[in-house]
Amino acid sequence: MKRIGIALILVLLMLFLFTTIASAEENFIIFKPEKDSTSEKVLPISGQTEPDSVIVVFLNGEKKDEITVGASGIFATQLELTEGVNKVSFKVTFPSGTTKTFTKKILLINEDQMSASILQLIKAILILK
Amino acid sequence: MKKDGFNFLVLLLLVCTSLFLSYMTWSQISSGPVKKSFELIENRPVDLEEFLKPSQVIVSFGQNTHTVLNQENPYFEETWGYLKSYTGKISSSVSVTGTSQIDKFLQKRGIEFVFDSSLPYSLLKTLLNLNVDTPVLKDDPRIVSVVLAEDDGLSVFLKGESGELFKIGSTKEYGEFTSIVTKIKEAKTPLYTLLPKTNLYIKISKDIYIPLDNLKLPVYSVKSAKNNLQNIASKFFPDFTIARKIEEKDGAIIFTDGTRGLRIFPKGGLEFTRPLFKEQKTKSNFKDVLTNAANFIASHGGFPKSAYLSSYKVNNQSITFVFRERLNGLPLIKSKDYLVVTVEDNQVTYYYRWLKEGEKIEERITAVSPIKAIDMVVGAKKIKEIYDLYLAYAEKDGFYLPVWVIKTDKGEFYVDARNASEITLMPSGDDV
Repeated sequence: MKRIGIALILVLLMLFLFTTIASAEENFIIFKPEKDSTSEKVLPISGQTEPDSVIVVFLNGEKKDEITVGASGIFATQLELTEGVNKVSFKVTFPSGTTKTFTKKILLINEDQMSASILQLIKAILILK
Repeated sequence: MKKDGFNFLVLLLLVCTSLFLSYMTWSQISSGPVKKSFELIENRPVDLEEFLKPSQVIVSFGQNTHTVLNQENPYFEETWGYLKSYTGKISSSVSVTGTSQIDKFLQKRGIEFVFDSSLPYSLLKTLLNLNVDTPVLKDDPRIVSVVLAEDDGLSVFLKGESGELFKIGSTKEYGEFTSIVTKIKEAKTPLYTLLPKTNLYIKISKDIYIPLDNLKLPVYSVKSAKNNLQNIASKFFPDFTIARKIEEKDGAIIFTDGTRGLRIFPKGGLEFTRPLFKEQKTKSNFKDVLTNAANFIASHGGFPKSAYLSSYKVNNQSITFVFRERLNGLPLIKSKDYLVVTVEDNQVTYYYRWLKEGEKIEERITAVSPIKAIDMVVGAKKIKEIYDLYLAYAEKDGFYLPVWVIKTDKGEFYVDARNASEITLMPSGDDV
């Protein structure tokens, strides 16, 4: 009975530690950008993750920046987008050695083209009418 | 041969003169002559706007892209002038919008004018030529900033200390606003982003904008003030002929007429105290008291043109105003407050000033990122919450150094922007 009790406590302790470590590693938050589309060519990026992590930032498969996160866990950078869909990836290596990749797709809309498209759409609707 | 020798000497002399003059010219350009940027207003009343203008103008281009202008930026005056012309035409009712609205404004174009210290609405009315009176503002709330945002056309909001928004007007005609924002964007001013407020490992209490690129800033050497303050001693006494002069062992000089006391420190500081004369009691409003304080400084040593109202404290019948100076558009910080006036019943009962004469650029540096400064403080001091973060100049060891000022739950820290090391502002000069 005593042994079962000790084993149970050990299992619970390990579960607790595992959960804590796992949840710490899961902490990678992109604060900006919030939306999936923009008409601004320069994209500010900021977020927070586990201190001492290393983040490699890729844009459409090309490495753009490497950030060593300090004690605050805060990071910030900026990317110059290309027109259309941009795939922004963050390859994060946590202090434990685990590596995870987080991806976000951002659509860069050309405002002039968008205006022209809307104008054409309105003309089409008027013609159909 | 003799003629050749003479010509050679003349040529040599001309070359040496040219080299000498070139050296003089280029050394002035690279390091700068000693500037007296701390110019003084002495012979006229001080206009409130001269020291109450916003410290920062945050311009949002839409979709979370921003820039921050300080008073040195060429677009600062244009945006400030536009706000005053807009608010001068408002005469409408006021609605309280709430705090949640501010997040949606960050996605749109807008301009936020942030003041160094929160100002009572009654004072802001004068500053912005506002003609809005309403029960919503009858408690004279303190306003931290004024926001122009694309909402129902272009709307103006006053932001209170607790984050509440008071919408005071709107217009559908805002072509000039659009033009100004576009112009600033095309000028490619440095981009800023908001520090994340996710509260994972460190909590960020308020909206703090940080530059995405590292800023280039000068480092200055300080020129010590000449101690000519004895020349103005007579201004502190109604009858200077009865004032006694006492010289102390440390070099300080005291003047006193039995009630008023003036101490002039050996290294350029000055401190004046006088009791409150109750028979002179007068009622006055905040604006009048502040004007009184500024004009007192102007007539007793001069009001620095770069000075601004850093903070004020109301205590029963007295208000203590703390002024600071700006250098290169940034606040100048010393180990203690260096321009302080206490006004009681509209009489100045305490006055302290410790100003320097000028400065010279010694080098230009690229400031470390504010995140690196935060990391240093978090790692060394184990802080949990950041209340504020901004760039300033700190006086240390004969230099004005650019520093990141970080206000936290464990106190205020100064991080050298050259190398992200902590700086302690040790007392020096008159405050030892």
